[in-house]
Amino acid sequence: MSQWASITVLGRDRPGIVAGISEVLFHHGCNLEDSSATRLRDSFAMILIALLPDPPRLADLAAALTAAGTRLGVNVDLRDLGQEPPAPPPAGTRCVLSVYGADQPGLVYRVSQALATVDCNVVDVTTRVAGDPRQPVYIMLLEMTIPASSSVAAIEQRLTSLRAELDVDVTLRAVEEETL
Amino acid sequence: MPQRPILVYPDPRLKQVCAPVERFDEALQQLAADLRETLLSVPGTGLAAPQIGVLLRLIYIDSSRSPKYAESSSGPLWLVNPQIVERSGAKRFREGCLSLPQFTANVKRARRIVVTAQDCTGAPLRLDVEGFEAVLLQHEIDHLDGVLFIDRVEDLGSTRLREPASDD
Repeated sequence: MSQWASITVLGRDRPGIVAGISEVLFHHGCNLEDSSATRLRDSFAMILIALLPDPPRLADLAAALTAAGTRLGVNVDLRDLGQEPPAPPPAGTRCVLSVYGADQPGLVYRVSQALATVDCNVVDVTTRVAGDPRQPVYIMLLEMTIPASSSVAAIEQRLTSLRAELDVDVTLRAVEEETL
Repeated sequence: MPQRPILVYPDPRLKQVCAPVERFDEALQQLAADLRETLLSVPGTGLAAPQIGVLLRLIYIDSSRSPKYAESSSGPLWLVNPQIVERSGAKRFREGCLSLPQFTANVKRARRIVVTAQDCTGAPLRLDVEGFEAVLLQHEIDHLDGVLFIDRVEDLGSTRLREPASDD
């Protein structure tokens, strides 16, 4: 029976975090599947999905990960995802939304709230504070799925009012997906 | 007024559609010279008139300023009222912009383009370029329509904060 776990790692960035954590997973017979890891400001954040060995020996794995985390100065969290095979990704039109403007509180909330009310499923978010430090620019990039019950035009309309309210620039475009 | 300040976002002038150049007069020659002077003062390969606050359809590029692309470069070029008349292929390139410091992202552009334009005397020009120069031209021509590269980012895994340039 297949069983999966998620491993979340967060701490001050330094060389060796990916190596130190993946070493533990390798020695415990885990198989890494989806992962996302990046440097955010001066922190390093990593989320891994691993297929566990049979038997999974979760307690042993948790102890070894905690020890590695202590050595690396990062927090490690292990979560049992059970034996359910992954659900398929949300169906609909894939879109990328760019929102950018002068930094202000509540941008992410206002934009994501507007999307949630029309059932857009956000699948990826990246935000950055960029530009001249004296006049910081907030950049938010969202990838989302627009369900069949809604339309790109409807979302556009929703975003047009946000654009004026928040004084930001907004661009929505469908992701061109082609199998070549 | 040779070297001019480069506007940075959120300056609203960067989001305007620029007007066509109609008069090839002394003022245009001065603007062309200012664009060149301004670009020479910074690390960059191209500049559009709106980036120095003039809402006219004029760009200046010099891909030879990048050591990586110097060999295939057409050298310094001014394009007045440029229009992309043909596009083909696709190329993904990590772009940055003088008007949006400390941010780069991957953008998908046409790999090869044909551009028609005028030079600074009003004489017609036709350019058939590919690779880096084609990307550069598409980026600069976008500025004339108030389009920044963030408006074209496709995949989110590609955004990166560029190390801030040191002040010294």
